[in-house]
Amino acid sequence: MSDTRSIVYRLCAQTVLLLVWYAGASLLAAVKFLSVDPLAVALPYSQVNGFANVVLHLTLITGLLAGGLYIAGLQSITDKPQNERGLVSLWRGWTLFLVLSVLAGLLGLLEGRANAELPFVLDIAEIILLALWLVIILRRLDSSTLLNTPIHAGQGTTRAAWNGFLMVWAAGLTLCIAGLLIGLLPASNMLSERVLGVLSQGLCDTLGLGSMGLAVAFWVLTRVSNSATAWIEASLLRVAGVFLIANALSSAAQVLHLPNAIQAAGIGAALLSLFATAWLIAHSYRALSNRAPIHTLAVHWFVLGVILLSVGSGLLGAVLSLPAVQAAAQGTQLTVLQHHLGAMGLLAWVLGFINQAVAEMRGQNFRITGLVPFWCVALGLGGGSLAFFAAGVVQLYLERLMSMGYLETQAALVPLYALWILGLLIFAPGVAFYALGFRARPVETVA
Amino acid sequence: MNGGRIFFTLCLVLAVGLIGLVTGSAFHHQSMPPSAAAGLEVWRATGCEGCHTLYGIGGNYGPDLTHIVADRGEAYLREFFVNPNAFHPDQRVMPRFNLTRDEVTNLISLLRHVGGEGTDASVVLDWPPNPIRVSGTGGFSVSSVSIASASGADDSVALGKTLFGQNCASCHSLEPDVKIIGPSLWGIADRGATRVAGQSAEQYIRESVLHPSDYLVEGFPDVMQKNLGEKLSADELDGLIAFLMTYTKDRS
Repeated sequence: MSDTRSIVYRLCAQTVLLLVWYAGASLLAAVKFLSVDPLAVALPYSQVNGFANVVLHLTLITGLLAGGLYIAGLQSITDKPQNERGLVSLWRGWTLFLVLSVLAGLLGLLEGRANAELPFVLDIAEIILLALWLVIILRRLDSSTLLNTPIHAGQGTTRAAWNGFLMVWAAGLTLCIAGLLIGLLPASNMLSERVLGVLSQGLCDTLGLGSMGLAVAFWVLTRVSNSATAWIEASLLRVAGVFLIANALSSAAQVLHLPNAIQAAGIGAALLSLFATAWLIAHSYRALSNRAPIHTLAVHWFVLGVILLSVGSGLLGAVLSLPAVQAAAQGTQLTVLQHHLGAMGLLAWVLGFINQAVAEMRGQNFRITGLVPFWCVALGLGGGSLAFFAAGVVQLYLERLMSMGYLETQAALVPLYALWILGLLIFAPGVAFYALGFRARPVETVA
Repeated sequence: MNGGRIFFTLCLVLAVGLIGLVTGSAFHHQSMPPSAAAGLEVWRATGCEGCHTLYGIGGNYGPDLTHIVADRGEAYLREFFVNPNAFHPDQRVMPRFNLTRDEVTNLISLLRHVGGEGTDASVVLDWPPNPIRVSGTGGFSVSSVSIASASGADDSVALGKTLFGQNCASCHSLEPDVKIIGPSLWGIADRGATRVAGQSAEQYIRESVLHPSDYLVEGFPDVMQKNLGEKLSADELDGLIAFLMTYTKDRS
């Protein structure tokens, strides 16, 4: 196996390992919402939830890096090992960064805005490493084919042609880097602090990772569907473009200090979010109506991702973008759920990519992980999210509309939180089963 | 030319331009007072945003703190930061962060700035649309969910009992000789009549709720909320007093 594929496999393995950490941390954070928390002082919620958020971010970005590298590797017209030594060194640097980040989280060294951030040094390291990933992958591609699809691939061509998947993926990674940079900018007052925090999170997570996820997911579609690759690529470019504008408007609408502009941004975000979601569903349905004989579970994970993103970023995001709703609901469990479902949708796509890519690397058209982990994850997320949604609605009504005290409202929500935790208790074993299945079917790697 | 790629590129440019425009707007505001800026450093270093929100942005474990200074007062917050475990003992607990006096001062300056007190209105946000309380029943009619009897007096005592639990129990105990933050209110119905010459126990309790600083008990800090008179309606205040008047020294 080439170094490229070896690195992809190792990134996939890191993704699965990080996901296991996330499942444990999120469960530990969630139980603090019950009535009694014996670790309230020894392990504060901010620390464990911050750790869960950071690990989830690292899981998604590692998995999506694997996706981009795999797609770019497949594009190589020759198997000439370009920049392989650089690639291996970069992977080692990335591994060191992951280890240090997890350690920083475990030691409670997280800080900063937007719930939790890595220490400043690791933030800088992440930005540099992501930029290096982008450069190393882009150097494999022929820039003259960025806007034009090549008609012929010349003999002995060493640079691969751009395709729409890589274009969207590279744009997403660039936006992610930009979001991280904005997150480091100093603020002169709290309003600016809030604006920068919202935009940083919007650029990095929603626009950046979202675009990367769309690219990887649509690439998976080319494997599981008999629809023409060119059509799928065109679908991706259009859907990704509309999602970019919708999510940019949604992020801008959260800023809240430019009243008239925010009204327009919020309404625009709502409409475009719904349109983009409908477009995604329609294209996915059309592609999957013409399925290829693929026996991995990539289709299952892809569909799960579409559902989660449609409900979270699409429906819920559209409603919460409306100015009057957002003013009332900002900071409730509903806004948390919106971001959570979006992240889980991307996670489902990452897990689907891993299924497909690892199967291809093994040379077998068969599932890598079974149906049990899929259904555990799906049902756990679905049921838990439903309970969390109910909690958010009740909180909005009692706390924000009826001005009931926060503490009294949270006490009333404990039964719903218990149901949410029950969902996580199904989700976490599903993740564990997925990891076991992944481990049980390794791909030989280059030493 | 590949139309799809052109379309995506245009959307990307538009999205980036929009984000850039809004990011640029973040740098047109005046600076915070130095103490508030120092408080922001404390806020970040302590990870407050991991649990609490300001302007609705932050964690989902603790209450929004945008207007907490107006809601609770500085003295209450100072005491709270020193010993958060003593407040809301049967509810969600905040860890103690061992903040220095200066850090507490700066943190309160930040929260005061965020809440808009003494600050240029252009650098704060008019949010939320309805008040967000840390505790209390807000717009609910508490008596409608009480288990009081048909007697109006019993309804008032039940109302007062609920209000005491929500507003007072975190600082005052009803057990003899148990001190939390403030003095125990065991026997207040008798003791209150002896505290100020010419005042009945009811009058003393009423004045203590409305103007806490006027009748400080020796050995206790002046940290009681000063805004209960605005928070409680006339009926609620009467109910609270009626409840406390049931706590005589002979009460079993």
